[in-house]
Amino acid sequence: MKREPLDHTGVLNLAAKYLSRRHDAAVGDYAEPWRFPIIDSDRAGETAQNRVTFLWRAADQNDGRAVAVVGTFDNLWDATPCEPVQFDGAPTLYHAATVLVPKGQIHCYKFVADGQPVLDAINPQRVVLDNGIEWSRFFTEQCAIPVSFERRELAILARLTNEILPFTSDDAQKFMDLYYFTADQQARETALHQAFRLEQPVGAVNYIDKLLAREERHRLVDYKICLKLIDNVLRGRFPGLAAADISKDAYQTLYHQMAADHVDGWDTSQYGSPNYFLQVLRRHTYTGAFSHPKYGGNAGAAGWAWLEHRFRGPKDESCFNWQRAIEPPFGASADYIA
Amino acid sequence: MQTEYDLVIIGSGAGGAPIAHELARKGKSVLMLEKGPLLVPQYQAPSGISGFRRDEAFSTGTEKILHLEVSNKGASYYSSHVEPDLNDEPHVYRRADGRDDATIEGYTAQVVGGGTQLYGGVSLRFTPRDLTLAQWNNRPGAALDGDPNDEVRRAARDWPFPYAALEPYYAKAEMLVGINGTAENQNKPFTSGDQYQKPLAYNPISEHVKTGMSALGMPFYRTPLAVITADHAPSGRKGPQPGEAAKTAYVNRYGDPMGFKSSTWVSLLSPIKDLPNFSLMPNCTVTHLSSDGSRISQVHFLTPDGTPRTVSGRIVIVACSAIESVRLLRLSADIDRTGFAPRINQDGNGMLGAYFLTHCFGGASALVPSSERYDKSETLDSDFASDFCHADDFLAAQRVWAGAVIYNNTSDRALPLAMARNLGSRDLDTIWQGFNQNTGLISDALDQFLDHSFGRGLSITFMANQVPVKTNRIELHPTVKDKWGRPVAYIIKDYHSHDVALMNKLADLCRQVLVKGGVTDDIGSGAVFGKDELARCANHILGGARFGTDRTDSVLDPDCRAWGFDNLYVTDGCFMPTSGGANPTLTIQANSFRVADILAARI
Repeated sequence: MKREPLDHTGVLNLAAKYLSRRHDAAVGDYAEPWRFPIIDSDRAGETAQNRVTFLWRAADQNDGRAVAVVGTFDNLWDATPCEPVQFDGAPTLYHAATVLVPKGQIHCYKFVADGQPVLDAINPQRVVLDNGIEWSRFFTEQCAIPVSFERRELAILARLTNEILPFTSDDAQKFMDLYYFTADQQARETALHQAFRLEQPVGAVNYIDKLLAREERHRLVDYKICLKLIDNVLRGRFPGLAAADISKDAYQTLYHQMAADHVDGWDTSQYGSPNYFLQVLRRHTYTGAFSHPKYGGNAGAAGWAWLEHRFRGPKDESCFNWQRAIEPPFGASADYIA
Repeated sequence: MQTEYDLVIIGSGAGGAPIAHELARKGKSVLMLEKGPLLVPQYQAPSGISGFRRDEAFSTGTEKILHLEVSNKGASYYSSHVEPDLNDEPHVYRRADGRDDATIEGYTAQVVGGGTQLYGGVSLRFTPRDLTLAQWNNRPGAALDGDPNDEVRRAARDWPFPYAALEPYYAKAEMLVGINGTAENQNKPFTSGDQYQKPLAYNPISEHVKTGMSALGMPFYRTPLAVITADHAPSGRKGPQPGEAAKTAYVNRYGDPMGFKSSTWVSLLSPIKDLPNFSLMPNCTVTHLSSDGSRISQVHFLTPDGTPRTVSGRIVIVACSAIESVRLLRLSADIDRTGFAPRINQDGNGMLGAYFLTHCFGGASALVPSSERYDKSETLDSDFASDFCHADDFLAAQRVWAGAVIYNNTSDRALPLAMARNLGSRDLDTIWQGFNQNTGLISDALDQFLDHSFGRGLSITFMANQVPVKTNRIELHPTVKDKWGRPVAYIIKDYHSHDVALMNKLADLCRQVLVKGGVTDDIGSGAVFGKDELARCANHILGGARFGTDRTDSVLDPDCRAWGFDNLYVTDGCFMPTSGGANPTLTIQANSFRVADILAARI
């Protein structure tokens, strides 16, 4: 695959902070290893793809292995060679390669070191394929394919997050419908994909699905345990009903019981405090609704658009003209590029 | 590979960059070492995209969990993209109950440009009185509230030179950095002229501040901000077109992808970046200094992949923010207990790390009437400021030892994530806590909460001198280590009883400004913000290696040179013997321009 020119300082900006440390450091092998491979915007004007930079750290100065990367983003028989990252005119322990990958995709990859396939030692995202072979994995921005949750988990989350978000009024519902209807074709495909597919106006569930694979991977276990417990509670209360078919009142009741930290049928030996989980879920839901759309929520910037519509000043002017500061295609800044 | 330089400068922020700028332009060979990354504005970026973004996840990131062996192990924290991972390099402070907590307070950003990348840009001069507090408090008839043991008079120190000596350098900094504001009504002489660029139109919400200050007889001026509003010739920067385009709510705690905010990178370092005699090495961590007699002989650092390397400089400048500078000097002393240690500690007089200062700060906050709310996302960090509380008459009448600036904040509560995560939080350690615990704010109630707050928040802040106390200090923590195995900084501080009296008075005055300005909904005011006042630093970290004319009472001489060394200078905020009644960055920059002239005459 065609390799992009390497931004050596750009790679070292992340490598030094997150990866360099004493070998026997008590603080862990890396900080924020989810940042790797580095997924970033492509150059100005190119909005359909991400720059993906794979990073390899040699064991020591004597580790002279030639390193390349192979993956499903390219023909699997075409390895992309990694080049030594330069500092002050000399190679460092780091090797890297940058390729362009369309947004919204998931891929598996491995390094090939002196001909031997090796998993990415930094990136914690791994996936075991049907043939039993383990690969490293990454996904690009605005990816709408679930990576953390199963179908029923997604259904429960869609209902719970809808209880949290302020989009339940008729006005909000109408606004959201109109917003998606008038979005241009490309935006609508992405937005619809992320949001309505999950029966949810702004795609907060998709944000959480991605967050738990990367930034807040440490919270995945909370979700896995608690969604199972919630599922058990709901199955007990509504035998035979799918999560999506249970009434709004039932989810409201469940929310308030969790807030009160007492849920009938909740197995506290598995997870002590439903309230604690609710706090995490609520923080994630709100963040998903109003974060930059590249993180997978706030689909088509619908969350921001709602705030713009909803909160008006004395002359009915909006109190949140977010578009002027934000880059196209979401916003309308004439100068800022991201 | 060059290993010898005229100057080696550690840190690229307000303390280091002015010296690099001046001496590189005079043809001296300068190496600048910076622990953090080099993130450039989009007009300099190879991809056309800046490493800074208008993205709320950049200023306050996703959740991380503290794993260190401290009493708040397991706590959640949310740092910016240019603050270190607390598990890698924590600041630890001693709580009132004697236990130790790690805190995210007190970092000034690890990035080329340091704190000037993230700050709100408030760029005020200190007043002549700020530099002569010993004279003032030892005048006949001086009397203070909250000082029963008459300690403040004895703790007060004059700076080793008067305001007049610093004034030309203030003007120079204002010109070279690129600052907008107005000089009229400031309680400081602008002898060398007014170098400000023209301020932009203020946010309509700030009209209330004008009204309130006028009603109280407080002369006000447009807050000087380090943001260019037009083309800036000294740094070669194109200004915003139109000027109003500089306004966004992605201001305080955000780097500026457009380069309008006058960080030291865009204002002072970019103009010299291509000189053959200037080298900037980002992502390099200095581990310690070593010395040969009175000379710093080597600077030891780790390259971006952790490979140890050394360089030497005829002059070595330490400017990596007060806490980290003191830490670096103490680490160097620990490694060489017979050479470096007695020289920097001056045979154990206990001055290194002592008299650590932040500011006395606080203020008032309320919501403007809902019928008058405006878009707060079109703003800079502050619109109006007043030196009313800097006047000698005010100090005497209020029985306070030193003055303060009061200014309004406009960029708070302007963006949707900030409105939730800052709800009820008083410092960086309590981000999200208020929102998390208020689980009733959902659905319609969440809509009403947003409706209640959107476009209405108005805050007034005071920034006042903290009384210097010797036991307020920076040490090395006895057990907690950073990712390189080096002891981390240990912050031990408290407020003097007079600080508390002063903060209460000033918080009340801030409250009155809002009340007189017709802003009373949800009003609150306070002296010390923070879950734990012992942690709160506000990123104004000062003192710890103060300068003076008496070597038994200071670490640095009036030139900012360490008393025990010939070629070691310390130029970040830790030189300050008092913290000034204003944000410190401009004074750090002005002092560094002053030191640059001294160095230019020397080498």
